[in-house]
Amino acid sequence: MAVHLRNPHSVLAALEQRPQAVVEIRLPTDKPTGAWRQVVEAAREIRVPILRSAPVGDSRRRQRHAPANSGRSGQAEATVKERATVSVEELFANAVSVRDGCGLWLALDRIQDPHNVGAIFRAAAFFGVVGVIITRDQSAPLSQTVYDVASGGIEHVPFSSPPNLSRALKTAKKAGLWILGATEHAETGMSDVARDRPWVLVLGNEEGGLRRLTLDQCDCVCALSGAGPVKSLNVSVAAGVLMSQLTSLH
Amino acid sequence: MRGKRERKLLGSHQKCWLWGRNVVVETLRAGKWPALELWLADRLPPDAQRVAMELATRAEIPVSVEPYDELTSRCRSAEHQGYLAKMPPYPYDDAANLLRTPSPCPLYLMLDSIQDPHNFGAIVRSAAVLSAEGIFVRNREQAEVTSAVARSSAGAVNHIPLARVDDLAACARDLQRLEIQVLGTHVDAQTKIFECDFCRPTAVVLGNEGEGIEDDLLATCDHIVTIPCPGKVDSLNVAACAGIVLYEAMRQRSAKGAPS
Repeated sequence: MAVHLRNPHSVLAALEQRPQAVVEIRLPTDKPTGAWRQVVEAAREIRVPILRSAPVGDSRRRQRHAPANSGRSGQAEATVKERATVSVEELFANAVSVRDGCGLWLALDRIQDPHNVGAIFRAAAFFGVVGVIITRDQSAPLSQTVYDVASGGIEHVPFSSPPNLSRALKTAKKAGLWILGATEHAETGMSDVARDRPWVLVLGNEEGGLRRLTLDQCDCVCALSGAGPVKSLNVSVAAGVLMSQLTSLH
Repeated sequence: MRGKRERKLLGSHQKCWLWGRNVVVETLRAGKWPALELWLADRLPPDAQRVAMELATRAEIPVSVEPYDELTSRCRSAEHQGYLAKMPPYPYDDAANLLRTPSPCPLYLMLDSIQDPHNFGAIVRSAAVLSAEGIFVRNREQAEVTSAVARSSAGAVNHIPLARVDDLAACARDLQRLEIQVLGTHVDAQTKIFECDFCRPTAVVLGNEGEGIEDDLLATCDHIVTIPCPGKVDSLNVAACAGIVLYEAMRQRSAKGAPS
């Protein structure tokens, strides 16, 4: 399967990390600007076909009238083969030796909004997360939106998609990792979380949070409570905050 | 008194509808942004219907009860959960008002042209959760508070003052005169947020998704700070960035103040 990427930065990351996976580039113009020009330069170097998409009129009118899923609406795009998942065992291999035993992994328990999944991958690449687990069922599929919102993040962070999250967390524990659940119902705040060990940070569904069986696997749970009138952060923002705090004192 | 001009609908026809149980009920309850009409699906449970009706009646908002599909065709979304409200333009706060009654150690956000409604909504939500005092936004090239923004803010647009200003740099200088430090965020800055003193009265400036903070405003900032990047990709979404900086500010303040 292939995805049609429209964010030049996600295409650049694919060209850099998995050049053989980039099938073709389609441009509505001979003179691309900005990051798409970089895409063209990088694609030429490794001989990825660059095609001219069908000529179309005024871009604003076209956007309004083109069916949303036509994919050939005159927007620049790249056809890229999806990145393969790795096994849970591979994801946690040599876990305790990563970053002096203070590496960070993520587990996403049924995150359903593709914008959230994409934003979490982008932040994961920024904070040097070693690997991500995504539950196979009830998670947003890794679609074009996820790749493009991740802005290259998908290319930099390996991920695994096991059918059973609690079993995957057990595997992580056997590999020497500790499990940290983020839930607004926790009594503990971030400042009480030990920084001297490798963590798998578990984030739950936008509405339901973490499942009972997932919570049972957590060594520690923490909340990001504020004193403000609204109770909880968007899950991708919460993920970013937790990653920044967990990696800050190393 | 609400003038005639103010009663025009929000932007395009679709944008004037706010839908979804939580955000509609929250907006009715808060009363900051009064709806023009409330539409409820006839198949809502009687209790739920009564609660929404009472809130609307108290605010003198006309209510109609319609078939579920009629609501769907109105807002062109199937995600309304039986709740739909027709909204006037969002009532922005006055910048001067926002500065008139600050808390002893306020924390403000200044948004320099955030264009994506998901980002804008998530930032407003984070600001409300992490107790920011208010948000200043630029008058132009900035996403407006629309239904999409209200939804992605989880209703937080009802709870935090939002002021639109013509000139953010001038607004930053006004803040500085009140001894509020203005911190710009930039990927190439030398100072890490963890080394920065957020215990002083502070305004944090966040720039546009592509272009960052405009030169004039960046030059006005007292300090430029960055989020240290331990990974390989040195680029972070602006909404994540806002949450991280606001959280660090809250963390420093609660660590310094009385432990709660």
